[in-house]
Amino acid sequence: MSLNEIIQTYYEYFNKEKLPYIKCTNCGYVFYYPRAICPKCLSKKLSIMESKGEGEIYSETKFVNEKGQVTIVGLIRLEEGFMIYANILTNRLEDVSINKKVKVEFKEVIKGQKFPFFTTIS
Amino acid sequence: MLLGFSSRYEKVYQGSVLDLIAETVKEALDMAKLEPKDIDGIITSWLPWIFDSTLAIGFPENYISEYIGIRPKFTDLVQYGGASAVEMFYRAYKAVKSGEADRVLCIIGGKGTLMKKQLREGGLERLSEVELLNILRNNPFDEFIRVYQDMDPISFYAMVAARHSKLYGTTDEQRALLAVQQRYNANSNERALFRGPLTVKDVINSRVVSTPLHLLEITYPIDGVLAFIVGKGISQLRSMDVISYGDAVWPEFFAERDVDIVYTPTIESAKKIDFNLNKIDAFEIYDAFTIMVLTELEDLGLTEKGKIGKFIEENDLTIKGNIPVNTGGGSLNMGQPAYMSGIIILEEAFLQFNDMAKGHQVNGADYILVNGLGGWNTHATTLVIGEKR
Repeated sequence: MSLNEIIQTYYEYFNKEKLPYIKCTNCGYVFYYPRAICPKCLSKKLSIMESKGEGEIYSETKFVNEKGQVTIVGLIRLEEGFMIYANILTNRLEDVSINKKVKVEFKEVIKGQKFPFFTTIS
Repeated sequence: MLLGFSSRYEKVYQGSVLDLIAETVKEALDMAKLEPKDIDGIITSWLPWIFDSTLAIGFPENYISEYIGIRPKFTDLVQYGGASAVEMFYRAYKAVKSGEADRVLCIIGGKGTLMKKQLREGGLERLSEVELLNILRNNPFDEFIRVYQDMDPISFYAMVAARHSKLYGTTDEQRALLAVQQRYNANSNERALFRGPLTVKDVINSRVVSTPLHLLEITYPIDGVLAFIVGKGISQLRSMDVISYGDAVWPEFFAERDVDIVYTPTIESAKKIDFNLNKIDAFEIYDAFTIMVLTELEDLGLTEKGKIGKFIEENDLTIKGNIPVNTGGGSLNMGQPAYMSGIIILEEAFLQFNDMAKGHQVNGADYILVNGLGGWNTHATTLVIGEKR
């Protein structure tokens, strides 16, 4: 697959509320950010996989955005072993801290296109 | 080796950045008793917006050479973020040592305040981060990163601070204590932008910008340029040499790093340093955020990873102390020219080594360690300067 085809597949997964990631079938390396080659062994034998969408907060920070809303951005370590930098959406700020469990949730942020976000698990 | 240098810093510079460069270069050349025709090498750096709000400049080394009348036979462009100035000094040193050039002029800086102005008030403000992708990209995955709201790059260093606290129990007060010690140094520096008494409580009570970082733990973007000349021959300045050097580049996006985010590439650059840190008279450590200095000092090996909080409490990092750090107050108090450059730490090393630091001079500053750190813990350059005996 070419890079653009992989990116397109990612967008389709997102709209179906599935979280994709890539596994190199040559060396076994697992990564999220789309590439047409494995950054460890340069193999093109890659499989697009579907993540369970569950993981834990590796780190996070809270700030007030330009609209005055408390916003959280963080690094999420997924169970499959890769990390995503994304916003964490929750009404319970006190539940957001390092090592807490989170799960993926999809939200349309660009017209017609959903993206993965994370939310706390109660 | 260092023949001349000069700098200009202003909270907001009203003129063109070329005025700022021309004035600074003239002063550096005057100190070195040289003219433009004597310069045969040029190294510069460039970042979006810093040249009179231009988003992009083709051939920045030529752009500057053309304006100030330099005809170089050696050029280089260094984009190491906060490590740029330090890396530039080393590249100029190497170019002279290898005979590629005899006198290299290094110019770094610009108008750091314009980025914010352009993004918030200028024509680009109506563009979302995602739309900006078509104009300026930072990495190959920007589409999958910029859809999220953050306070880049504050968010990244805030996450480093949060994780450092979680793993090692580092407290807000310990980070604040570093800011307080640097302010003590700034109070003896007439060029510092921020002066006056500062307590740990003041830092803790300042607004939280991005948890856990407070306003007084974050540098303030200013306009400014540093010009310096590295070359053969003697000058009125003290004979300076590179005693030891190391650098490291971690290009990967921070979500894809194999190492924990509490480590900086200084852990790698410092390994190449062959010099006893106990003999260092002053440490100039890149300080866009308090947490950067904490993690850099750990990675340099002054203390073990995770023990920096206690280390700051048990040592005096001011100019009167046993381990002087950021002797002029650092960027936290001087401001950050061109929003990431490492100008402040490098010039402070030049001043200290030449006994020119006036009120904030450390006695017997013979060996100075400068540590630049750029991007999102992306580049590190570690340099020990001194006189070869």
